[in-house]
Amino acid sequence: MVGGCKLGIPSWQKRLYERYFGFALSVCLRYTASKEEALEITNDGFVRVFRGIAHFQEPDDPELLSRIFMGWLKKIMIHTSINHYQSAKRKADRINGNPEQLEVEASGSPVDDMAYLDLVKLIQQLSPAYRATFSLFAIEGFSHEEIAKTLGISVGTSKSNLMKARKNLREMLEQLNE
Amino acid sequence: MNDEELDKLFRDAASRFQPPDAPEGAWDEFYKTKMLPAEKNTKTRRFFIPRRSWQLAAACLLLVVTGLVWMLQQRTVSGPGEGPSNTETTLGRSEKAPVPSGADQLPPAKAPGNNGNEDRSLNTGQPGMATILFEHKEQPLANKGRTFFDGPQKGEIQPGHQPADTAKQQRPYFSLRDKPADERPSRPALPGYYNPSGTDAAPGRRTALGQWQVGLLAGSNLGMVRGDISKKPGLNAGLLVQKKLGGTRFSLESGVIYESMTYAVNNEDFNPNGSPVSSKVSNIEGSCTMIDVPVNVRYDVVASRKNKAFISTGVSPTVIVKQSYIYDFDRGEGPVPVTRDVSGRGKSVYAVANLSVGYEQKWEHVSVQIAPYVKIPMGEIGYGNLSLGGVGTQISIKKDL
Repeated sequence: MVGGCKLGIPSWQKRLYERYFGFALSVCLRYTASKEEALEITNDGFVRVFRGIAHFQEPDDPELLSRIFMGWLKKIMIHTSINHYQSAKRKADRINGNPEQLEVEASGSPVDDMAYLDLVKLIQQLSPAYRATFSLFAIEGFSHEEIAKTLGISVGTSKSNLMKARKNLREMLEQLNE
Repeated sequence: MNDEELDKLFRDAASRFQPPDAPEGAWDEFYKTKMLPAEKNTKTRRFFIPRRSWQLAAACLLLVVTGLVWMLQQRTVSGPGEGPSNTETTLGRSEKAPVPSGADQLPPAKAPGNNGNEDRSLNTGQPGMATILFEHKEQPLANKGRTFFDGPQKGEIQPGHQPADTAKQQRPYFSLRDKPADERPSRPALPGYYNPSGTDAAPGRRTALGQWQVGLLAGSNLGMVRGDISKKPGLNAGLLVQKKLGGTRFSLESGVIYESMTYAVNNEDFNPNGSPVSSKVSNIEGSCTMIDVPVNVRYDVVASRKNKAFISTGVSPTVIVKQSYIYDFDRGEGPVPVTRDVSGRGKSVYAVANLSVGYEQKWEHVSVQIAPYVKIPMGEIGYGNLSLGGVGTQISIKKDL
């Protein structure tokens, strides 16, 4: 499939897209305020994937291919999401008025049983900076130095964003438990 | 719940998550909206000559034209009296070459150290050979015990020779053109006779050569971004100065031009601060006012007394004075028109290459010309980092000075 995509054959591109679409979307959901926005970024990410797949190094062991490819795909989706976040931030600086935050209804399920998509909805209620910092740190496992470099902020800002993101998420979870 | 537990909750949920399949028609939608435009854009960019190549092409063109002008200038300034190709000098009194009426009174030829003792009149029996020899040697000397064409030793003062103060004084006068203008006998201009200084012209009369012209110009233009020409016309107006280069068909044109321009921009061509514009923005239309200082070389392809047809090329350093944009911005409630003044944002100075053809009609000392032109951007400019060029027409009225 990867070989077919490297040759730019649409039928193989379609198979790859359909196979990894859900995974890519689940990554992008953590960095966006809505499913529609995540879908847009996912598709932008796939354009990058098909353009850059020629540079993807296939491992010798075929069993590792899927895992390594998913890691590569995830990296592209994260970077596409971060670029989108930074572009939105610059646009907000330029254009009068703040970009509206799409309100997302949080589900009323108990915390312990909360599914990933429900938790993602909580993350989506965070501000873009808090959301990106929390996702990168708590879910992707980035260090504060890496987050600072990726988002173009200071290490101190990264720590502060993470602290405030956690505080907001705790409050939301407590409200759900009540 | 402490920090670690909170992080773990989200991390575990993410790792347990089973991604859904792609919805029906997702690939078709993706291919139609993302892949096809991306491929089309790539193909279009490939056919479009890259900006760097445009710059190189314009620079080469300018270099060639400048070199051509310089060569013609050199030939004109050195004059027909110098160089072996000239029939008048090399052949002496050739029948083909026009001979001034005062040739019978030509003074004797002078050489450094000669002081006129050794006459070498052009009217003697074999003047041609002596002229050729003296024309091709740097400093011929009178015979003072050395071979005839030996140069003087460095620092040596030859007896009876007054050292020349300037190279002009050292030069032998084998031709009237070698003499200073004030020492030449007065004579009427003959057909084919070329006088670069124009000193023979009657006082108060305009000369046909070395002519200056000044004028006013006005016209209309259409902005052009990456080959897409705007439908809304803009205006340009300014001052024009033109200098004819010697007796050639080349002229140098310059001036100061105020231009207003309106142009439509595609989202993919609009990169404010180097970043792509949001997909929520659409229908971007820019307008700007600029001042440019064209420096063009013009060549008259057809040149008669009353009319001329010409081609012209050069570059224009351009400064954007004012720029603004109108676009639609969709905040989720439908597109809303937004107007933004972005004057002073982004790069405000760039250069464009000019190409034009035109026609000039002359009446007495006034002429009117019309010149359609194209301006090719040699870089990106403005808030949106645009490759902004233009096409248009300029109408000028000029007066001889």
